[in-house]
Amino acid sequence: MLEITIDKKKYQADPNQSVLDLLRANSIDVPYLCDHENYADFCQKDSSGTGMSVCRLCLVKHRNQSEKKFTISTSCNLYPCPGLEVISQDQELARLRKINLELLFADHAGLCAFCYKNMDCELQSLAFKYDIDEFKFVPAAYEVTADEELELLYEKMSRRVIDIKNSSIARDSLKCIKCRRCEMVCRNIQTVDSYSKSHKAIRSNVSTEYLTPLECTYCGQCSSVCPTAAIVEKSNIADFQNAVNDPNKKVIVQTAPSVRVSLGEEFSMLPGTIVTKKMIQGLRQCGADLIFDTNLSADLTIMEEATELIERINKKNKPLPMFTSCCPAWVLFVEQHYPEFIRHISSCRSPQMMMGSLIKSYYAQKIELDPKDIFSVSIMPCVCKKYEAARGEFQKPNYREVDCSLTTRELGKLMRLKKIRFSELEDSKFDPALGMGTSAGAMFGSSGGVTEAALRTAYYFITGDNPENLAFEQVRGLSGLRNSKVKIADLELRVKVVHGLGHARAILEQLKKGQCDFDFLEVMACPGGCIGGGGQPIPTSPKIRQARAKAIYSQDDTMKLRLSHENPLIKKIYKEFLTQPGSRKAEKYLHTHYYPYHYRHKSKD
Amino acid sequence: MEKKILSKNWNKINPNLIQSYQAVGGYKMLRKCLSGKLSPKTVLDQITKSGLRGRGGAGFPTGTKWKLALESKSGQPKKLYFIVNADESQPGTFKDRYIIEKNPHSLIEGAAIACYALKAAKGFIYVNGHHFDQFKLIEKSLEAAQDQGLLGEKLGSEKICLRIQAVRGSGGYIFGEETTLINSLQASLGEARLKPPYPTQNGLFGCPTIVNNVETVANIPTILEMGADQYRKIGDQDSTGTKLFSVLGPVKKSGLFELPLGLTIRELLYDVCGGLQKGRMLDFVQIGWMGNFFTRKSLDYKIVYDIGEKQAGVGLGSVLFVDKYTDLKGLILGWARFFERESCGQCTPCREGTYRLLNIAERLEKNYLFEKDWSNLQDILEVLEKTSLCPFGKFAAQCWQGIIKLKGKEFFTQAMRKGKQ
Repeated sequence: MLEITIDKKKYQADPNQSVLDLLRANSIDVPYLCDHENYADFCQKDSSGTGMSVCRLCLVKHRNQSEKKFTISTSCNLYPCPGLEVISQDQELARLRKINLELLFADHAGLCAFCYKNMDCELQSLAFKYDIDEFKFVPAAYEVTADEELELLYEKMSRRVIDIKNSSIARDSLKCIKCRRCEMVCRNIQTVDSYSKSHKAIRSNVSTEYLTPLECTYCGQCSSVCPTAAIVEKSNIADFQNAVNDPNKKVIVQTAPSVRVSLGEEFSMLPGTIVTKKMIQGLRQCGADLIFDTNLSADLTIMEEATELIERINKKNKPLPMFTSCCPAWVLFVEQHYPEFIRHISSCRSPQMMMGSLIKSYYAQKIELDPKDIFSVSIMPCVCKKYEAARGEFQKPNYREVDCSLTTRELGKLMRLKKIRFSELEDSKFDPALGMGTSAGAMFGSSGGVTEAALRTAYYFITGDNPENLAFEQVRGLSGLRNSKVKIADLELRVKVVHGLGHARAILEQLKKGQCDFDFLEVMACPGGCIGGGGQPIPTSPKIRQARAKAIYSQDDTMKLRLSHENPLIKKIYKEFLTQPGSRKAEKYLHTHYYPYHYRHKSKD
Repeated sequence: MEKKILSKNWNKINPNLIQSYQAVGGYKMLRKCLSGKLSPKTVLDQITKSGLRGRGGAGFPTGTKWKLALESKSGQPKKLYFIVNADESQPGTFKDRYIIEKNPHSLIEGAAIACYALKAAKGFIYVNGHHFDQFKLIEKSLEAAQDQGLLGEKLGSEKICLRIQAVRGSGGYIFGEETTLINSLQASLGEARLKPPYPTQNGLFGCPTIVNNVETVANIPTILEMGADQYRKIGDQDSTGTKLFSVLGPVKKSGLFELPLGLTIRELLYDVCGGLQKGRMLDFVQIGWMGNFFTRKSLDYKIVYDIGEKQAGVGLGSVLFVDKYTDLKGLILGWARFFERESCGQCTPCREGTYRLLNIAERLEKNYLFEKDWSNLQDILEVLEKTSLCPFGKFAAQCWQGIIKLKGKEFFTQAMRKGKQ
């Protein structure tokens, strides 16, 4: 630690952290559009690469002890050294930042009103703050003749690339300000590397390889860091509203465990506020007929997954280690990049698809309704769930198991569209038919939760007793990789918990070399698990992720039901419908198959 | 006035034949190195002592650069790479391609001696992608040198390994910037890196790397041959030696001249180029880089590397005489087009700024400027100069700033559109 001066005040600085990190930590306001705080603790910054500090907004003036004159540079690549003196606010800096913002905004002039992210956009809020002139570099209508205006319009549109071929992520190059956060996230954190810069100068664009439609794991981290609407989730709000307006359709909604701890942020509540009851009431006001809890199907996943794990260990019918399957981006990642490990993935469906399948089979039979008259909606913290819901395996001849999936952000937007005053909503409860989950299911929202919940139930399955200490603290936390050993009777279970596809890739590479020191691997594609998911409210930062994780685990402490196998609804479902975990019927409704990615997609062409 | 050191063999030898170069004493210095008569330390000392400065425009002392790289290499198991920057692409500059066309072996000999002196793992000659003939010539010459036992593995009595490879770039102005060139060489995106770390610390594949201009490297054998003390006598005190000047404009004799540094603009204009053509009147001279303008009043300025009182920066050595009949607005439009086209598009001020400058230049040429364009122009130039990521942005701003300094606000206000505003 060393002492540096910022605006005539002394601060303790870590020489390995940039001045921008320090400014942010001390809430000194500096605008920035290409750096992102979410990944500061997660991975080392790229030291030699390109696309770093390109927005040129986080300008500061600085000088060393030996220098007399201040020099202007960006703070994101300025590292503290002894005696460094920094000026962060100044007339000249403010002007330079403003001009750069105006240059960035010049291409956006007049587009805000139609934009998907209007009033929810980082660039726009900076523009408001710095009071920029929208039409500074672009001639305004009263300045040009009609012909010139047409020319300008043509020029803008001729460079536009729109990519909406996949079911998760929509891209629009017109809105792109080339901050290249998506590229950084995709390359350095997820190691999927689907974006790069193409072309030169003003024609430069962030695009995929050979400008093909986006084909990646659809984790959606790019959409959660994009400061504008250049990369957004593919919106299903219209589908939802059409279904609500259709009198023949019964709209059944399920909500994921991590949505209830983050939805409040969409309505400027503090991160980590648990808003389950208000969310349910809000959904009812949006027109949902029934609201079920994905925690229940998470419990079901645990029952099936724990059974499968024990079977794999005892019968050795499938290879060990077993990988979890609740994260669709992770499953897709294995299918695309490591098809040789497909048999390692648990055959259980993700909680979303289990609930979808239960609604259209078990529940539809119970209320005697045709499955195609049910419109099943899931509220997820994830954009990849949209892809998962559209996967071929989950398409039945005349209906889809989950008809559409909305992200947390979309739900917030939907409620705002409906003019719902979120904080004034009354409390409401899940519908009892499929609306009760345990806190074990709720923990799916955070990285390590699946493992912890599975361990509790596996302990019960093996020993017939519940573990004395339910909290397996060693698998919790937000570090990228956690190892632990758990002793259950004679069995020593070695588990590994990973979040972020970059870490997952490192482990799979080890496994490829034959270095396997674990039996169970939990992977969540997004940093921090679903609480840091690609569909979560913007912004997400380490602090916010921590707050959300804390809220999830606080539910675990307060809830009475903390074990999946003790959920009375689960017992009832098994008794009435599925007989027992791992049965033929459970196989049919709760399990699935995986294929190498190129199989599925080559056959289509 | 002309002093031919580097270009003494030009037009006398056949550039396609290595024997022709050897007949006039070529590769003598390299052979001396290989036989152990010239130790790496001597070479380094000679280059440092000669005061040779980078001919690529910035004028960084070559010896110092070499020492910096050697220092950051010492004590670490890292390799050292040597790169010859032959990505010449600034408008009005054609010295490097002349060196390659007229005498490629002088460049190769210089590069080989540099690799020997620095104990470099490998040398690269990075040729501009548009200079295809020059690239072919270099490749052919490298092969010839290899056949003669001047390059390759286990050379001479001390089993020295000298490997040099010619690489063809993708042809863009920005690749002349050293970090971008390094990125391009290691198959990364052609964009400038942040400095520091400098290439001498962290360059190609994370190793210490030296990037030298073609002219700098081609000077090395000459300096060794004539001795550093002799070389120092040529030119000015801090800017020693000769420099290739590419002269363009309405003068009687234009083209490439090798001249000692420290001459005045007047000498260049009247003694070397023979004065302006008949009926022309000099408006200003541009030397080195765009925006480095000098009017008739400053004809007695000395052309050296440092910018000081009565001194004109030499930069790349390109000289453009502009007379009163030159279409200045067209010239500006040309520059604006060049910078808009060649910006890499990485940082905001350069990507967006050069484009908006082009818009303004287009309107200026039509005498159809908006009233706000004047203040916009100054705003863009300010951010380009102060906040752009690499020096390219500053270059883009300099030509406009030069014009503004020269012609004042009236030049722009006269071109405002009339009527409806």
